[in-house]
Amino acid sequence: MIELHYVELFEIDRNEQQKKIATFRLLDEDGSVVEIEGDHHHPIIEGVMGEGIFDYKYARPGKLYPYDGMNFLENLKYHFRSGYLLATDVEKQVIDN
Amino acid sequence: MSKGQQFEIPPKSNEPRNIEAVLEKGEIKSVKELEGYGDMQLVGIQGGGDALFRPNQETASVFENTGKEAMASELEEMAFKVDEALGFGLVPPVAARTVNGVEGYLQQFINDSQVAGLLEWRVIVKPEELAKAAVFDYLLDVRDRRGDSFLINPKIGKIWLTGHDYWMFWNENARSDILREAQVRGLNCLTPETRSALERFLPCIDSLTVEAKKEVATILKKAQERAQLILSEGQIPA
Repeated sequence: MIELHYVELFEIDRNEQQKKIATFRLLDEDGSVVEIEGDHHHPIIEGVMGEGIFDYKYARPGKLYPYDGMNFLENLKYHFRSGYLLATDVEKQVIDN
Repeated sequence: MSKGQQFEIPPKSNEPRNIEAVLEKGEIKSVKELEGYGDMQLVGIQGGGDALFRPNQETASVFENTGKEAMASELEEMAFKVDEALGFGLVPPVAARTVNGVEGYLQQFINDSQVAGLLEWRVIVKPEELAKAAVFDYLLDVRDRRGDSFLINPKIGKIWLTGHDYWMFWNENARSDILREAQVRGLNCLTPETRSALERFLPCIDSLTVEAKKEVATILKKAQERAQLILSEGQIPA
């Protein structure tokens, strides 16, 4: 059994419908790097990968990137909080090997 | 949109004359829960289009844990009123509101614009808009302004500034991308429009501060000092 932690990112389109644009996943076995499922050329995804996000939770200096694992995952909901873009809190899923 | 929920029915009165009044008192037609953290909702209002509802309780602990008295709705209302005093038209109308028994605020949903980070906003933005937004962000010492946290109308290059919450003001590690871009492009100098705006704004400070929570009053006091500094130097300081 493997524990998977993930965050989903949604965008509101011009028809005021939410659509998912990415899922950020962290496998517990691995533990270290967040994988991004979605269009890696999407400007928002490119921005997060290239520029990182702030550590809102602990207010530590510097930026967080997918290789920062859970720290990165936990802060996505603070980074994407405008409503026009919204990330979920970290969710957990247990999957069979 | 979901239906069948218990919405508020406002008292019968004269028709609201502007969007803020509609947000505050207009009849709620529909409420749609949004996927994502924060329990945000998209609310349909009779005669007012749609609005984003943000509950205060979702960020209440952040304010409490840092000893602050203000609520999210008070910060966004402050931002709107400062923008109104400046006459910039950058912040979508806001009103404190209770939706389905939950306190928070409604902000007009801007459906002709997109998140700036989705676009080449630095190319699209009108220089005059960038200059105004830079003044606004400097006055309020806005921190967490990024391409993901403001909107731009791609057809006319107009900016909309939203999300004036705890982290917008107290993320010590962040600096406004709008302010930075304006400074890089030399758009930090005072224009006749921004000068007039600041001169309009300064006499309004006292009324904006009445009954304000201490954090809001502190931000406004700093804005007053910064407005005076811009006027005396003729530009946003580096």
